[in-house]
Amino acid sequence: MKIEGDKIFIDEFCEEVSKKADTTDENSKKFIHTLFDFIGDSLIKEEKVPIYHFGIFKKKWTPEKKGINPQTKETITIPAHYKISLTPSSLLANEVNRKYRNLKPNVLDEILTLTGLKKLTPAETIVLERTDELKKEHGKAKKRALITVIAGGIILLALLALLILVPVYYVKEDNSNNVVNYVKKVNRMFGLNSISEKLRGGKSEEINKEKIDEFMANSKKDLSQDRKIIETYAVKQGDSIFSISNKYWGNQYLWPDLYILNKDGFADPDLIYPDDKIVIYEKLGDPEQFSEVQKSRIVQAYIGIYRIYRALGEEDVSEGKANNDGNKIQSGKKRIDDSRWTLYTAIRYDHELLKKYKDAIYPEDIDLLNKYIEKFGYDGKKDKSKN
Amino acid sequence: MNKKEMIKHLSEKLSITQSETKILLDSTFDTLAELLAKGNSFNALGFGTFSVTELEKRKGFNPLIKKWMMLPPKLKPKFKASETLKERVNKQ
Repeated sequence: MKIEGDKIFIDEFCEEVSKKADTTDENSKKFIHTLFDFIGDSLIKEEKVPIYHFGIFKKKWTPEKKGINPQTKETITIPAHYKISLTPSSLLANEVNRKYRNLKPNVLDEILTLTGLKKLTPAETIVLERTDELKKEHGKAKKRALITVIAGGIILLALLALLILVPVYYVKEDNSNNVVNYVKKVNRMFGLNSISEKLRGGKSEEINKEKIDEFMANSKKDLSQDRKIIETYAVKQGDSIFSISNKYWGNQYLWPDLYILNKDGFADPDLIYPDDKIVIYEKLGDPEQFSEVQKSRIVQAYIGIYRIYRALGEEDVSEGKANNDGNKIQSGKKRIDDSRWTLYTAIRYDHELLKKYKDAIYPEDIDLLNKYIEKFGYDGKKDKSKN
Repeated sequence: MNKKEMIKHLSEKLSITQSETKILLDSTFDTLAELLAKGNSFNALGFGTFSVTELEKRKGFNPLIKKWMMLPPKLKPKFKASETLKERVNKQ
């Protein structure tokens, strides 16, 4: 497209040049005529006439070709000829293009390039401009999404912090700061009992019947060492393991010894049936004069019984018989009570039992038994009259 | 042919000094460039016309990055040789 500028002719041009070169118009006019003549002459001889800082005048050989006259639509042959052109220097090109100097080429989207090199229709140019706007909007939307995500993250963190802090607060109210209680509390809140059992430490291990079996087999081996069998007794109606212990050894408190020698592994100590065969070994010793070895063996037997009672109690949640006060209590609870009394009985043989077998006894039971010992002494005789 | 040779030829033809010729040559093309930068056209009779054309924005393929580009509009100097010049060059 041609630019609507002033058309300048040779006279006006010469005035400008003479002003610059500080000579007369005549001189400059003469010079300009000579100059263009000279360039034309040079083009006849040479391919290129370069002019420093302005451009290069070139002639290019074009062979004979066929063309169509657009008005008459006749085919004509265009003879071979030289084309004359000016290749502007970059300095000139930049100077002329000053208006659009700051515009840079943009990469087009894939879809828009499908039309290829075709000249753009007005609709397509609108699409191009529209995509620029869309890109801007897209950037804004991205920012908005980012802000939403960050805000959401902060809210989630706050909720998590609340979930953790609320149980901590309640635990502090209970005055029990230890981790186990805290975990219990949290688990109660979320109903995660299976996890709590694992974390409570030791419980699942103690309930494990195989472990008890192993323990019992070991103590059976220990107890039967260096002892002779006196006779085999058949259980009659009305017998209990206590009464049999009392009958042969003159002491009912030695019953765990008798029980462990006759049972293989895990079984309910409260149940023996008529015609069960019970092997009677000779007495372990006089409880008043037990040696250290004998003491440790009887204590081990007691702890075995404690574990069995305890395991039975943990398992059994059914309603049991009414106790002496007429209140119905869970039979499981009664078993747990039994387990504690069994352990308490053992304390008369070894006063340091609770410390020695710390790992085999529930911490809560240790606390409880320490209280019993304070109240009743080691053998249940102290201050008994007061209670 | 370089500038020095051109100045030598011109000064011999016009019988003026080479420095004067140089000043005239520089000012001629400076003026021409200024005229074109303003968007004007100049008709040097017997030689040709210098003018400026505006190229519309268009698509172009950039072979280096292998992508289609939207090229911005552009102003370009243009030279059209006169019939006399064409005849002179094509004579032989």
